[in-house]
Amino acid sequence: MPNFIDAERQEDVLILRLNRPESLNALNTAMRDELWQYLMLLHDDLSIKSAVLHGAGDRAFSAGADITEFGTAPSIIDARAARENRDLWNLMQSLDTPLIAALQGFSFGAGLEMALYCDLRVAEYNALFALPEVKLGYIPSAGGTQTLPRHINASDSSMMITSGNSINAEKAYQIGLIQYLTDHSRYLQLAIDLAVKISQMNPKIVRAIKRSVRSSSEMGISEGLAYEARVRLSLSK
Amino acid sequence: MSINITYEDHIAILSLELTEDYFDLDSLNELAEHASAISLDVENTYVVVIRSLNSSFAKGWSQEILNMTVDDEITIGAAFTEIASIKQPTIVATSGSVISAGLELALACDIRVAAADSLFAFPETKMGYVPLAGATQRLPRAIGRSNALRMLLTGEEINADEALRIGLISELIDEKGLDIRVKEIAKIIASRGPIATRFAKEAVLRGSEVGLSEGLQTELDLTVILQATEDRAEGVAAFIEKRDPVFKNR
Repeated sequence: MPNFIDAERQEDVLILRLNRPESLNALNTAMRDELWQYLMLLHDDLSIKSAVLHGAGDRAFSAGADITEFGTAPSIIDARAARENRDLWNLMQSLDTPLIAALQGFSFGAGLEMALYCDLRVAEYNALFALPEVKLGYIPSAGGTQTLPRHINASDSSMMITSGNSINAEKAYQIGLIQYLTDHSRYLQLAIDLAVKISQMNPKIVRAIKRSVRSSSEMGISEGLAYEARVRLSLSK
Repeated sequence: MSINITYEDHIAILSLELTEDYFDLDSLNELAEHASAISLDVENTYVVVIRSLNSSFAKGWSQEILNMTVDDEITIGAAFTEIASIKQPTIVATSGSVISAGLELALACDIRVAAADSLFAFPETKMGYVPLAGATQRLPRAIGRSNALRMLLTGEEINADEALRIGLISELIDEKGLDIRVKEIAKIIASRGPIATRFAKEAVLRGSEVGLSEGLQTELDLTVILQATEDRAEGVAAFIEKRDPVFKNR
């Protein structure tokens, strides 16, 4: 059995590498299952203080879902049930452990959507970003229509989602899709350095901040402020 | 007639020719009628372009509208709400003055592309009133609260460079190239799966009304419906066979 995801632990940081470089790290069902296991590990093992997600090879973070597997699900009813029963993306979205995406080359489709569930995105100068699903007659289905407009301005997110066109790293940096931009030789180390830095903070505080910020995407400001106050109270006990 | 509609393949083009570049009641009515007709015509129209044939996109409201009172019982923003509710993706091409009503219309569109001479402003506060047609809601959602309040409270004019920097527009084009570039974007969107582009817009719009979890569920449901379409099967087959897809809007 090949490992589609490599995991390496550096002290309190878990480094996950999507490992199908010959397929531009496209997500197939096997890789998805492995990712589920690692996300559950992050969920359960509080000794891991932060994580980095990156792609093997030198051409892509991930080119997206593995199209060759499309249409193999028995029916749309089963497909929906499968997603709801094991909701990988919801698990990723609900983690309290900080995730940092290190992005090289292509981050397309589910590849970009995965990165959008991370808390920080570091990219190298040749990185390209797209949600190309409409080119194939469907829509982003790992949350892109919801997460992208919450990360960047409305006009640019509509442009990306309805045209399927890619944007380059410079544009991505300018519109706030990525927070750090550097050379290919340095982008992964920069992501790891950030993860290490975060891992050295008080983990209770870090997790509380993530929880509190995450709540802001689910509620109005008054409710969010009350939630933040409750989180703060729970820390002082 | 201050607004005319033309079609190029599956692209509907709404061209404004406003009297002295101001929106009056007649032009709002025309706009609303066009918008609802386009939205219903998903068979033929895959994407919509809104532009102006004058050198300025729109400078604001006519005196007739500014003189109206609440007793007139006219919902001034209704036409722009119709534009915002169009099912197909909408692209607006701005040039010259994009002031007040002009900017409100641009904000009701999905994608904003601007000529380099575009100037954007909401001068309402300088005149002692609040924007009339959705700006306080659409502007913060488009560019975030700080830049929205900056524009709304100061009334200052923002040029195209600054508009690009704050994310009000997606592209800045020199004046001569604007029409060509906007049609190019429209053609790209029209070449994608038409049900997919409509559903993608629907997912974004419905998602902006609810929290993230609920939005994700909406996206999943739309995805599942799309899995049953001929176009999705064709799109995936074409990708695997390394050829261009032929979408049928089915």
